[in-house]
Amino acid sequence: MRAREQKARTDKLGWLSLPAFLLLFVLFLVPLAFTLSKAFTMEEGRTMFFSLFRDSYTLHVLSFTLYQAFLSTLASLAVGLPGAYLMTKYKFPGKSLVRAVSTVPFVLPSILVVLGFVIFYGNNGILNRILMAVFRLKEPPLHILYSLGAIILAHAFYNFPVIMNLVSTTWSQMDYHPEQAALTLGATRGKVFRTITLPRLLPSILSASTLVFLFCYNSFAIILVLGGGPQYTTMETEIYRRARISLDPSRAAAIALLSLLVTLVLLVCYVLLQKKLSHQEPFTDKPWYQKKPEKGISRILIILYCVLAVLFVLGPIVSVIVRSFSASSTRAGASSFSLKWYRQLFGWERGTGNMSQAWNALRHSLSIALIVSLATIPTSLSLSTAMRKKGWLSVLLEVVGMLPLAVSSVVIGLGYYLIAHAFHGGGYLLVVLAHLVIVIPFALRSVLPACRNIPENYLAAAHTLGAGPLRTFLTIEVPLLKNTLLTGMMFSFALSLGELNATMTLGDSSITTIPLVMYQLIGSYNFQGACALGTVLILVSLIVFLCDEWMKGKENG
Amino acid sequence: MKKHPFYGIIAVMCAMGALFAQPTPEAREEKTVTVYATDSFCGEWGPGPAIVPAFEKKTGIKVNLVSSGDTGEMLTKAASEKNAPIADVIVGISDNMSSKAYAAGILTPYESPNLKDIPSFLQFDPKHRLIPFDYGNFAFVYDTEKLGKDMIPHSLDDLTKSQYKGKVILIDPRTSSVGLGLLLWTIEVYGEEGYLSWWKAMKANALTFADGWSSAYGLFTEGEAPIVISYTTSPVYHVMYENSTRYQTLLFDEGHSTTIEGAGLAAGSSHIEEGKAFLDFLLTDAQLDIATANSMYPANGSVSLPSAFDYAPKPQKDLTMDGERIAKNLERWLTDWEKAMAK
Amino acid sequence: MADSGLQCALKASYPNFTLDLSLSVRKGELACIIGPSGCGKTTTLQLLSGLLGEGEQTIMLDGNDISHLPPEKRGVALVFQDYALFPQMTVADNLAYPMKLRKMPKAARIAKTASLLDLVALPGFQKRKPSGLSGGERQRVALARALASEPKLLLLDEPLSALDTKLRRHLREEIRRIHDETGVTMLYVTHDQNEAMAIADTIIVMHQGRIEQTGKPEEMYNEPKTLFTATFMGEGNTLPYKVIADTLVSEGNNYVRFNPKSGEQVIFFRPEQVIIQEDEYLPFPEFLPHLELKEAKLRACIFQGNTYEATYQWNQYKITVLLKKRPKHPIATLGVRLTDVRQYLDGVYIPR
Repeated sequence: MRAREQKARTDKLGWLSLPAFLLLFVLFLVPLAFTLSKAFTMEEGRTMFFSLFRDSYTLHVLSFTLYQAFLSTLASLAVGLPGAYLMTKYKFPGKSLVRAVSTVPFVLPSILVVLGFVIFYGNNGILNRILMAVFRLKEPPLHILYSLGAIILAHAFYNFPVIMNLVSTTWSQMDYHPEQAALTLGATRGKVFRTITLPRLLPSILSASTLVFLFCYNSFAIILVLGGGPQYTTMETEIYRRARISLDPSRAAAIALLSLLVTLVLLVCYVLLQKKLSHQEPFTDKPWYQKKPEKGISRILIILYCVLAVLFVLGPIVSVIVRSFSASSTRAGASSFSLKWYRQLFGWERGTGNMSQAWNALRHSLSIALIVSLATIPTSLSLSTAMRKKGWLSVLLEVVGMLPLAVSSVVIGLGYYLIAHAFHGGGYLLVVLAHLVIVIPFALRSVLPACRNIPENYLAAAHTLGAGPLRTFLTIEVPLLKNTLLTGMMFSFALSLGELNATMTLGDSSITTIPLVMYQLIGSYNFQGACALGTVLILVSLIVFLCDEWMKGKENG
Repeated sequence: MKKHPFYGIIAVMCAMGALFAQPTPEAREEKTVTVYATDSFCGEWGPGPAIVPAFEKKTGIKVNLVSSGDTGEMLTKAASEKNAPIADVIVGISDNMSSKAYAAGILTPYESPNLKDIPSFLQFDPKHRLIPFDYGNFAFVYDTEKLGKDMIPHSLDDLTKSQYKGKVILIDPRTSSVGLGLLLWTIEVYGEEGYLSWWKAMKANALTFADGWSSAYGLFTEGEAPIVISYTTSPVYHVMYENSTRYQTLLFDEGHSTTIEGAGLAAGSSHIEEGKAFLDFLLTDAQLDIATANSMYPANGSVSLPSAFDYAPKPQKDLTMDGERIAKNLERWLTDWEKAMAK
Repeated sequence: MADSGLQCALKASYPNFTLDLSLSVRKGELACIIGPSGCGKTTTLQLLSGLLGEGEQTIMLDGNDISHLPPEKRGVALVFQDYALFPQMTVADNLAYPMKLRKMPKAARIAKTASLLDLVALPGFQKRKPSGLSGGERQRVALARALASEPKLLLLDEPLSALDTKLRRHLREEIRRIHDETGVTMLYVTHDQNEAMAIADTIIVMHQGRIEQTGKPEEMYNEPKTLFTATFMGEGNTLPYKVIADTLVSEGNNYVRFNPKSGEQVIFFRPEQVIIQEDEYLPFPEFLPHLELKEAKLRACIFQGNTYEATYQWNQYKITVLLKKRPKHPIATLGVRLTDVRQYLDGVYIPR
């Protein structure tokens, strides 16, 4: 009797989530619904949407989209799982750095990633030039880009940290006694991994994979530039073409709706898996005994993995940084080391064209990101109150909260045109709110599980001491969530810095942000300037993540 | 007991936020004109940075130049704002893409008095919704440092040979007017029955199908491949600004298709007089800057060109497709192309 | 004899203590290690099982040196405090796990699972899942699983500490019974000395990484060789020697004195060894030499069902006494037979 009563009291806080839901509703759901409703316009007597199912071309595109997402997920698993193993089992110098660096690509705008890839892996890229110099070749040996392989490579680059970090977090919190018991029963380490560890890890692996699949499914710039051909058209690119180029909104909406239905299925799977995870195992307060690698084999493995990671992750990033320090006086001329772009960036030298905007862009980006990240605290907290409970309603609400992540960015972009129009042209506040909507799923991802993990006894104890639901929430739960809130905040900060789509559409001409200027620079072929801006982004993100790692380290002692 | 750094961090962030956020300045009451133009027009190397100050100095009208992506994106942006347009002038719609602009209803006719200096063959819109400001021919451009004299192709057919595998940067006709120009070029040369086989053959030889001219040319100058679809006048830029003859045009005997770039007054604009003034300026004072920055031929016949333009070879044949024909068949051609290439 | 059972010598350093001990368990014996928390009991088990591997170790099991073998090859099974059942598997699958490792055919596995479950008094539990079992049931499944691996040595790490008292009493009997039925050599760790005394053949007392004393339960309780063992094995009264040095002993009319020796001497006796004489005029009923503590004041008396635990204050010392009847007077004389008084010099027993 008392247990039921307890639950009822804390659940009453669901109303706190209303403002956040209102925000989601107005800035996201309504424009989305409006855009998608065009899928049902009639054309030649048939509704556009239903006629899609008979269109072999669209179905072909859909199957390719699923196919490349599947392969990309496999690739991310192949790179990420060994990393998760190393992160969980071993303690080695520079571990936090590795984790922070590997998270950076995720928050960078994909145009920068693409640029980095071209500079590093391209036919005339750094990797090929090194190989040609070392082996004295005439033709570049590696033709990695502009192919399906390039798409998968870039996706794995982007997403393997998701697998690595999510899985290693769960893994390191798993109680390790069953593994030890199995050892004493006579199982070899390999067998223990296969029969005991892996089944227990499976939900978290699946959950991370679903997330990665979603990201690859919705991927856009990478497919467009690195794919290299119309045979690699995905749903996103198809929507883009129909909406922006052919100016065929109804067809674009139809394809978007079809695409959305597929992602909804995936999203529901993800949410259900997350719920299962949080109820599955009690967390242990005795983390894995992490040791320094002693045996030769493990040392070699770590070094090998790190070298590959360096090539893989750092290659494109470092190329961008290195590029930012070169300037050529002419487009075809030779380049030399120069701080020119940084001087222009920080306003010490008057930049021409787009670089003059750079200092403004930096200010705007930072201020928007600060406000957005501060705002995620009340937003994610209030949303968790509604999503924390058991039952189908909270599943539905969580799906809605995660929706901005799953919907195609082009479709959201379409919606933004509508919003901008309704609000007469957009502005600073609108950009901030749009960013907030975008970062909510990510903030939720860290806050919600932590919220669910708070033992009910704590809340019950507070109640018996006389605290009502709201006070319990504010004085007991919120302080317990400090760490996850900070993580959510940091991540949102970095994400907001790198956001391009919404800002581009919703901002008016007085608002420039770093990704926006970067985009313009790349468009007007000032790769070096774009690299300078990219470097700033990379550094800021890295600092933000390192701070987060440092704080997590302090907490764990 | 040490306080959790949480509060400290929040405090620091608030302080930084206050430092960085600055209120946007009040809009001043003065004459302005908002110009939507393609990224290449507005970019550092484009004509925009030279024209805008000159125009502002001459007329005292403040120009708000908005870089709006590729032609397609610009059209979408303008179309979505149709009911409450922000743009006064739209610059950079070529004759190939004009049908889309007319269909979207974003332009309003303006017969500029300066049109008298523009040859009639360039005025592709009899209704003057779009008035031409430069023109040129599409052609493949190659990197002399990467392609030996024995490897030079002389026709579209040559390009399909296996020796060019992975060496040609093409552009997607669905997303770019240059790509579209190439598509129309192949239709002109091979006819509607044969053009798709050229494209299918090029699939092997294409390094990639870039989404626009900027990224295609960018990849080209990055050294990713030695041949790119561009304009006959592209080498002019390198001669003028870089003293380099490294990049040269490939002339094909079968002829080259043409492109005329136009600009127009936005329908429903609230600064009509300023917009008209800008368009007038575009046809006269801006012509030299446009030609040199864009590396295209100025529409205004009375402009004299610098000697660098000698490096732009003139094709034997100009292939121009009728605007009506394009308007009627464009969707079908694009769909056919899409289907053929997706296999 | 020498080549069966467990003989080990372990030396390892840890942040809180240094482990330095050697112990042996006869084959088929049930030995208990007891000691306060943090003394190294669990660490000892972990070293024996091979899950930890620091320091110098020599471990001989049934004549084989297993010191350098990994855990999976030692033949040493470990039952954890938190049971460590495989959460995804049913009870039957948990038990079958070690059997599958030894490539037992399916029919034999099913039969053995059934017999093991009967042994631990959980018949028919094959299809249950660990999450649906009570603490006591999980413990028994963990035990059955460990037995399924047919270990040469079975280690139990405080297996009953998470259960309530009544269950603990019942299950410790069960463990003893299972031990007797299977004859497996068992080494059992607990911090509860009553548990150890109830079921162990041999008790090993550990203190700060070292072994204080080894012996049979009665021996350990009645003849503790160190003061630590004495106080750990059960309730007792400790008085500094100086205080009672002049307190005399009556044996009829003779007085006997203790041998004075230098150093910290302390005497020790159990509460149940104290008799009270409430009438000051009457002598003690017995004529054996007694230690007399006169004018002890009654401070508290707790009823425990079958005894009374009375707390007296003699001078400034607290003396606990176990009585069959409630004391009637506030003041009494306490007496202890000299033979029951044990004397410790610097914590070590000195015979008189």
